[in-house]
Amino acid sequence: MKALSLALPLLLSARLPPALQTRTKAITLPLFELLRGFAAATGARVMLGEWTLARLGSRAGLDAAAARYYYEETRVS
Amino acid sequence: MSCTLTLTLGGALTRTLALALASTQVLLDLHGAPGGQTVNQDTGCATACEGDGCGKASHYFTRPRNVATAVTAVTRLAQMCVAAGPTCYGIELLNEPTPYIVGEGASDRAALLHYYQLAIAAVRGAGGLDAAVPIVLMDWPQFLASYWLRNARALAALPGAGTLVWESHIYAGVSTSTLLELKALAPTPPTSPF
Repeated sequence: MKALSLALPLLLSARLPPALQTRTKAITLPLFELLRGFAAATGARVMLGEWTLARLGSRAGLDAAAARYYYEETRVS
Repeated sequence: MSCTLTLTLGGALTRTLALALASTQVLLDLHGAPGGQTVNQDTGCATACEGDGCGKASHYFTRPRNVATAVTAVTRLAQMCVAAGPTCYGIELLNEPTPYIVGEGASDRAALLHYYQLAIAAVRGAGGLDAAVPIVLMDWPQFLASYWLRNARALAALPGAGTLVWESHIYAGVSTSTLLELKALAPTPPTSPF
């Protein structure tokens, strides 16, 4: 949870122009909230894997470095 | 008919684990379950229909012999993980089970729950994987928000289950609007970092 709370605002504020920040939030926030809801309800640990974040990055206009950063930092619990 | 487990993976995975950088950990993941856990090309071999009443052959991972073979495979992966020490992050029991619950290639989540129960017991038992080393369980967001919301605790409650981590992927098949719909199904977490 801590990693996600630190990583996403940093990514959104420091690496992306405003238009892409909005697009990224639109894609990622529902997913993160879903996974966090699942984690809260079940007590489970959850993470995103494989090419998920790279794919999100591509859809959101993130570059590869940002996608890798996402991959490393977005364990949601 | 079931797939034959050929443990040719030992050499390649052992080399991968040995070559991992000091700051890198490796997650060993069963991508190709015998019988095929989906109809995708990146899954295990598809086997022929068994018994009466079965339809087109393409997705028969959940048949008992194939499940048993998959359990043997992840047990072997666990043993390799133990031998690799801290280089190994953990074991993922199955990559991307079919997202379809009706039609050809379909599988209900109860069958997946059954496999996960058997595999967790085997990985922690004969596989020797320490309880602190993660066993990773994969399913798609729509199933985390529905079936696993009700049933994940059944796995966590298994004796000796140890550290379980759920993992999910999102590709083109799950749109933002779908996620918003799923969000409505999930409980609201106690706090939001946003």
